[in-house]
Amino acid sequence: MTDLASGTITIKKDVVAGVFIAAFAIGFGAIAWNYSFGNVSQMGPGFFPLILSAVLGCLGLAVAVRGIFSSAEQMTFVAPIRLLFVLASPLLFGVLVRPAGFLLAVTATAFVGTLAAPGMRILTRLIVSGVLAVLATAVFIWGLGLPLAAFGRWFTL
Amino acid sequence: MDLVTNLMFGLQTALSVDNLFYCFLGCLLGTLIGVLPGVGPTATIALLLPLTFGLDASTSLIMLAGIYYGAQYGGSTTAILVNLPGEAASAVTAIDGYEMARKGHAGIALATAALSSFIAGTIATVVVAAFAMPLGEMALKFGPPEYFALIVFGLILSVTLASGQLIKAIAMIVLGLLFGIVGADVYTGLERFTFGVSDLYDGISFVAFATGLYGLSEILRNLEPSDAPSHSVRRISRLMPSLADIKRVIMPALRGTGLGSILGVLPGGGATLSSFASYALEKKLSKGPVRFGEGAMEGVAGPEAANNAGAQTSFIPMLTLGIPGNGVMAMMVGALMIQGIQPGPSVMTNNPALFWGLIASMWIGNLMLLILNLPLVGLWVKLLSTPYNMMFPAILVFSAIGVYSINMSLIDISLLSGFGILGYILFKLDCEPAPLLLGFILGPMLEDNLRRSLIFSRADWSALVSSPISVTLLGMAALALIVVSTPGVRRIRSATFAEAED
Repeated sequence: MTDLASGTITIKKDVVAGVFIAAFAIGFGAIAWNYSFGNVSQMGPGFFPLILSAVLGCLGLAVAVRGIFSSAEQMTFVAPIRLLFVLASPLLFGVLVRPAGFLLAVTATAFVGTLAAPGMRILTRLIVSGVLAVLATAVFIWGLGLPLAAFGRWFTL
Repeated sequence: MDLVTNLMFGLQTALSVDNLFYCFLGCLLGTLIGVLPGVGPTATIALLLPLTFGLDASTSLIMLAGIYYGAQYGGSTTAILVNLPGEAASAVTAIDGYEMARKGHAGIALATAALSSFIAGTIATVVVAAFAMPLGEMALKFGPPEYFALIVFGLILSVTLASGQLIKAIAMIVLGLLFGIVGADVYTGLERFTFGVSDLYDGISFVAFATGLYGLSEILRNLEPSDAPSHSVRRISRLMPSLADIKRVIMPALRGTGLGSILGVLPGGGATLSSFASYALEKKLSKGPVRFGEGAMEGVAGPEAANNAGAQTSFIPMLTLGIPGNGVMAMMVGALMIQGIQPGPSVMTNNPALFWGLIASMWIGNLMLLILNLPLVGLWVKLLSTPYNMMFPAILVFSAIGVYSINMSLIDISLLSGFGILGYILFKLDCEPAPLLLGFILGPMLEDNLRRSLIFSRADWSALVSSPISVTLLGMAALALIVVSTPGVRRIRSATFAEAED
């Protein structure tokens, strides 16, 4: 049974794991291919990563092959929408901290974070974010003297 | 008496007002996260690392260390009272500890755990001090081939002794090594795997890597749909154990300390393995009326002593050789590097105040924890009811600020989110994050020592096995791999870790 919306999926775990690992090996290996390999007494920048990629590829393959003989199991994942909120939350801080300033950036980060939690009233979410923002500003900007402005350029005319 | 002189010297550092305060803060935070399920010591240290920039190097290490062993105390409190181990290392404590609590002996179980931990902490402090010096002096003679062998040995042993599938763990090490060498190549200046992004020139931000892998992915894990079991807190009866009780637990506590001290030094050992091994040992040794699984005090005392001793002695390889044996120690190496100190045997000679101060602070921290835990246990239990919905937005905010504040870089923040999802996917696929982190930390060191060895030897590979030290280390690594792969040992290995689930 595969139902992505509810976050349930049935797979052969090790096959996926092996392919996933091998994909990284191919990615790193393909890039390292362009770096000079050098020779053993003067290793080039490509030597070590290429060897590692080859080893990683073999390991990934071994995991995948062993996985073929296992039975598929049902797995539960975090709901995709919640995952998005969690990943977007820190990004929002990075994007907003310069133009909007620290206070607003933290509010936005915390608010988007709370969206990942089910069953909270919108007012509760706002209060949690506001309190966190004031606390964080007090600790980091006024307390520890982090060189960031509490209010960004949106607030200066 | 060198040992005493050095410890006294360390106490001077540890007893300064600043260091006492941060030691206390570390222990307090450690207890807190130990009590709260879903927040581990590695993630917490990653989160707090940026805050320690402004602190003195020894002060920051003292605080971070307090978090680690403090978490061992806190984790056992919830294991006993609500059958909810806050830390993996406390999982075995829950078996007999919670049984004791159900029978109305919660207070005695807590006191047993705290006293055993304290005994172990005291002894382990001396063990760390005694073994650090000879090991550090030996390491000063290491050349590139020996260091190469040592790193390989450390990495291999760290996965053979940890739980989980061996091939996947080795794959995680290799992947970590690859992530570790992203950035400018020291020999040619060529930018590797940076895609032209200048923020990656100095490599992937260690804080972004660790915070994403542990902090963010932990949040994702906790947000999975689940039917959370409601737990009832047991009432706490009288705290002080009787003299007969103390007699009963003193031997298991001492045995646990010994076992934990040894296993802690080995890479991949540390708190978790020690507690599981101690429980298995006590079960084997028990004769007579003691029934394990039905509230045996020995089953609390042994593992609790072992996990605390193991937590402390795992500092030995990190402090003396610069080789971290587990995820928390990898964070400590990161903390040292952020402070501009190159981890390794030179720390002892160049920063003696840090070295001995940290060791001495462990004993002071254990004393603080005894006071923090026993009389204040009621307060900690109340904290258990903190809803996770309030906690994780705060963790997100902390992660974002911490990662951003280091280089003021949007790239670092993107890496945080990226490694968050990577960590989550790997967790779902039963791939452990600890070997990934160890590989990441040790990647540049491994490559550098390999290249230097071969330059010095003029391309002669046999240089890697030219000294008795490197042959022994590489031989033991190979042996460990072979032994762990044999079917019999594989069964024992999984049985040791499965003990808690039965």
